Amino acid sequence: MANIRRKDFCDQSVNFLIAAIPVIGFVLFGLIPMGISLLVSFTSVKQSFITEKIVLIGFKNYGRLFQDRLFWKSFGNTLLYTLNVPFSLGFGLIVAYLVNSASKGQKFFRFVFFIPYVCSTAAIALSWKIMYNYEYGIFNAVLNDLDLKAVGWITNPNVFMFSTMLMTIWASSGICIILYQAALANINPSYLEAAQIDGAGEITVFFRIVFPAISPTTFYLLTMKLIGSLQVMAETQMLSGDSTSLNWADSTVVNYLYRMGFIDPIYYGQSIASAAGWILSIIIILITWLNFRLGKKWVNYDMA
Amino acid sequence: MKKLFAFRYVSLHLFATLFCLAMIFSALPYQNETAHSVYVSIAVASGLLLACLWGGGTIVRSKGLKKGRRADDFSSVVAKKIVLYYWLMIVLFIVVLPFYVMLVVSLEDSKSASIISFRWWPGKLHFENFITVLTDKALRITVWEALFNTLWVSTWPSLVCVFISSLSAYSFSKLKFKGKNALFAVLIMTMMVPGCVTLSASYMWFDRLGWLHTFMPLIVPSLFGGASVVFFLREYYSGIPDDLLGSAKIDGLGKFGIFFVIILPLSVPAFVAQLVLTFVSRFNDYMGPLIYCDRSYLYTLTKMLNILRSGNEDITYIAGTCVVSILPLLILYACLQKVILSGISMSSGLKA
Repeated sequence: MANIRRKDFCDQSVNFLIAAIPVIGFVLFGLIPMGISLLVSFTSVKQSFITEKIVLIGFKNYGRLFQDRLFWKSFGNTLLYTLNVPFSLGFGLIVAYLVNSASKGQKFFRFVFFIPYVCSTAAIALSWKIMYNYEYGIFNAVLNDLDLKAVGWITNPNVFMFSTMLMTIWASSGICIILYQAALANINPSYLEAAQIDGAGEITVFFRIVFPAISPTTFYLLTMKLIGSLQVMAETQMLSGDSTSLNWADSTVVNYLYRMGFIDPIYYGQSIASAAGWILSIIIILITWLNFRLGKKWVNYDMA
Repeated sequence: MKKLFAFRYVSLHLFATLFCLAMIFSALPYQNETAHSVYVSIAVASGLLLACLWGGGTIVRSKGLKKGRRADDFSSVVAKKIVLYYWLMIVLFIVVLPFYVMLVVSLEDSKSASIISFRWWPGKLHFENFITVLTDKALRITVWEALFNTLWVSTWPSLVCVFISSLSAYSFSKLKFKGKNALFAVLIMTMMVPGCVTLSASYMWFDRLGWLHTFMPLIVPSLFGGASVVFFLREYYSGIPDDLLGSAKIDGLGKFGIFFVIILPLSVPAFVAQLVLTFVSRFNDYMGPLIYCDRSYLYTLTKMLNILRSGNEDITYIAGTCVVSILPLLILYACLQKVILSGISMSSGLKA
């Protein structure tokens, strides 16, 4: 009896270990760095906690961040950039609706519209950088042909974030279109038929049937895009090329963190960067929590 | 009358496009007055026309035609199709444009491209840019070596990642052990941690481990599997009936035997989909190579593009590198589009 028990215990621990491998990985490369960053954010570490003496300075880093004009500017830029999310979703939904109504060539359109997703952000941003170029970019060439003034798409600090948003809407259209199209194709046709028999107009059908039916997809995309947009860095960094003439108009919070920790560690350092990371992630967690709370009101999982 | 309505439907959409474009152009700063006034007048004219067409048509319809049957006749179906494909073509143009520009610029003459403005078609095709891109060592590393580096950190680590994740998912969905729910809750929590919080701490941690400027920071974390892959595969495995596993057990298969003989073969589509998606995300990883691999012999393709971001290099060279760097995944996508598209839809919780 004891033998069987022991065997059972061994068996269960093997099962536990198999299941726990990803968790171990998370502890090693997620939890430990998190602990380090929390600790470092209360110290005055500049470059590395190994070589430097660790001096606890309390909440000074956070206080310094709240007084830093550049941090607030980066924060504002990030929030501005996050406004691309509704536009990305809207564009994706409209195109998905078009693709879904197309009887011929649906596969072709699905194929082409998803291409931006498999391309790296770096390559996409470089190709948009070529298009946005002041002298030989395509946008300014077209504007010039139309007798309009050239726009400094990525050189004008006031325009830069909007150019980045435009690029992001284009780049994230792929996933939005594919997911929305799958969701639209999944809508039970009997709902639509019933609505048509009852004489509902197109707008009523959209708000009463289509929108609730695709709300899980909207929620998924919204959550993903919000988290991703708040942590944006690749797009802005690639487009601006760290140009100093932009006067921090290209800086997002993660970009700020990167500059503080890796580019200019002498003055600011990793401790400030860690503090900024914690502030941002607390905001992200709050927004995600809020999103889930509000999601319960409008997301409908019963219509599939 | 019906043909007239079909015509109205098509022209409504055409004028709407014209109206939007003219509105944008008249809002932009202009070089001379005449152009501006032309755009404003086009906007006003098309706006008026739009209003007349829409309003007039609605009034006529409310008096004359019955509402229920208008979708059935032939001309309105054709009109709907024309409008649909018209918009799809516009979207197609928007989606393809950056790739087209990239290709055209990379085929321009490297000497003249940065002097003249953009041309829709280069006067003469210059394929020698690609030869430069493929052989050049301006960044102290060729594109081939960068591609090899990228494949090294993305192929076998993602294979191991998905394999380990599938083992873990198998244990979560089919095997018994104590504390399963608690462990799964921890796993879900790992997906919630934003990457930005560990950015600088991971750097210091890998520095402590002595892994900086090696591929270890890119490879080792993915060898432990990924939480989202586990989450997805667990859902998939729970669809496999327990009776099947029970009968296999009676036939003498151990738990690893069941995994390899039954679970893995039954879940090939899900496995491949997750593998490809993991591979794509690792291939396109931006932050990892940027922070941890700051040595020229460790450059991946994204890191190479990152170096080119300052825009000091020749523009045709930049465009050529972009084209070369996206080609491998484009080819993969063209071959595996069905797997990728269904995998994407599946991982968001939709039936494909």
